[in-house]
Amino acid sequence: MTERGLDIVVLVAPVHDCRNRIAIEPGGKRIDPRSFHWIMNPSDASALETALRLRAATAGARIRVTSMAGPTAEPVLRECLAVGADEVVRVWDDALEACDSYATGVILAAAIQRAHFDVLLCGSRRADLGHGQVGPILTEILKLPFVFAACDVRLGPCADRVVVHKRVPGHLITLSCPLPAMVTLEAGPALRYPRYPDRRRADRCSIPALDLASLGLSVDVIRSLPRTAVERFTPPKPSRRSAAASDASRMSTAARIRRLIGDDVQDTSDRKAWQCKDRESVEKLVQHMLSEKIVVL
Amino acid sequence: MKEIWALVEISGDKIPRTSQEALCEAVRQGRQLRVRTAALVLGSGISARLVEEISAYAPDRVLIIEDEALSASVAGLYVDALEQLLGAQQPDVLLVGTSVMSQEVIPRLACRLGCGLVTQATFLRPQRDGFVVTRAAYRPHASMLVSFRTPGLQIVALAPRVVDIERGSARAPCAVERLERRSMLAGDAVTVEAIVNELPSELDLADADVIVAGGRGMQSKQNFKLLDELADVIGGAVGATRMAVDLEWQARDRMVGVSGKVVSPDVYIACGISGAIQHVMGMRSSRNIVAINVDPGAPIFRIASLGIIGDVREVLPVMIEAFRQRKLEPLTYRDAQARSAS
Repeated sequence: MTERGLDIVVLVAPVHDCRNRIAIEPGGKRIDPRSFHWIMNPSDASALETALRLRAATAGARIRVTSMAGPTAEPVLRECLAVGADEVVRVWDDALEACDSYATGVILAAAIQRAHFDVLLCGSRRADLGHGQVGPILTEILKLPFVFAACDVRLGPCADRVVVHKRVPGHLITLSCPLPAMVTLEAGPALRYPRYPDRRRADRCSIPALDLASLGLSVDVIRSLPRTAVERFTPPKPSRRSAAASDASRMSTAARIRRLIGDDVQDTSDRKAWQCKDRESVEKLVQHMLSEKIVVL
Repeated sequence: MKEIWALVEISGDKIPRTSQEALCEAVRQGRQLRVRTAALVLGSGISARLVEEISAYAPDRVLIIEDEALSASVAGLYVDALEQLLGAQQPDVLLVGTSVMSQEVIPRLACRLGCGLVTQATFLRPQRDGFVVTRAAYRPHASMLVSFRTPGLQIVALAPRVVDIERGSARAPCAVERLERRSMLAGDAVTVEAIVNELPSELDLADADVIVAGGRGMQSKQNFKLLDELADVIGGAVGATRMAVDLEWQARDRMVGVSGKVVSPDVYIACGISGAIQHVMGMRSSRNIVAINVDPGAPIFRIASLGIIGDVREVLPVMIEAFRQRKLEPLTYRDAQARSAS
């Protein structure tokens, strides 16, 4: 931490909201960009919320949001401004579409290093593709101490270390590491809701966009970076339940719904449903579960 | 391709299911492609029984790196150890499972070694010098086929529960090599300050063979204690629906369903869960589903192999006590069974 206060960088990725369908372009090489519905990556939103809490607890702290995203995803970045980020920077170039996790890491590292930072926060994985690689890769490129999938970040008593809580199955671990440090966060605390005046103010701000040249990178370099390549996207196999019935149009709504949701659910008429009114029947049931080896003690 | 490796983690005195899957897939691919396979084990206090258990999957060799330092919860050391070893031995493919440790370590390792990594893989198709990997994308609307652009080592992290576990039938002789670390592993800048046990979530949901899950029908956080108790008695993990997590009755990592974890244990006991499709999608592949619900019309009964119509708050205490009793007197129970059989 410098004299100037704590500099927090949060990486925010706009991701596709998977409740909406995507359209795969013919040939399967790309997703039709018009079919994307951008939202803030949930775990990045938790990282931003953690940063806001960290800033509130530290005098003179600032939050800078860095994002690699196309212009269509700008509303997501405005939301960062609306909830209180001090600065938002967007990195984009049309050549970046074919980036894999490693190339993304290199570009983000270049963008982050343009200014001083103490704490680097981001979500542990993006919700739509779920690679979960950018955080660890940035750690390696920037040579930072690293905590993966944390649930809380605080500044240590001497302000030269961060104290990080992390949940692993069965344990809550408290870790600490010197600054500057990188921490990725699990989706946890929800991002606060912006006040309306703040939202209006954010709408009027312009978000600076950086291209490759301003990061000192060239298109050729970017093309040579990726270590994996997407061969093609394929739609999922049609499941039985979505197969259109030829006579669907003549069925009643109720029958159609039953057909869609009920048909491939196993018929349980021959199965046992126990009315458990008293102690005895529950004990009998336990006996049944044990003798049928449903539960093995 | 010459050799496929699988990374086997040790947690406590067990091999977690995700590692078993990686090992099985490596052996299966190795057998099909006529390529040698190896299991790589990192940790401390690796017992002979564990080594035997690993050999039962029939890899061609088992490589062991043992180091006290590796028992710590800090991942930097794993990255160093793996980097040293993989740099020296140069296998063609490394398969790993998805675990807390591997998600942190493997991307860092791949970055250092300059090789490609595909996470959350669901299917591997051999191609000339390696694999083309299928993984989910924009779930559930698409999947993507990913190829490697870099020559040399390819690392694939398998999504949980995509491989059926099968142990090799014939116990082929399998070479066990204990490798020496070449230098002291340097310390990590991250230090562990404290570890607090969180009891009810002792078991990872993805790993558990028995899951006891509760929904809104549990009515209160207090009543979730009943689930902890039941899970404790029958040796399972506690899960929850989104409703219960949103009401803060359970931690978020306990959530089963579309936005939580997808599980397929041997037994899934659904307590006070109506069976919303978002939850059912996360547990429908369980071998046995036992449902306890007051509402006889609850959709959960449609997929349950055993349905109990009753209030969880009344059924569970009796059930817990009954299981506990059986556990205390296993002999008499077995006797009773033998008697009824004859």
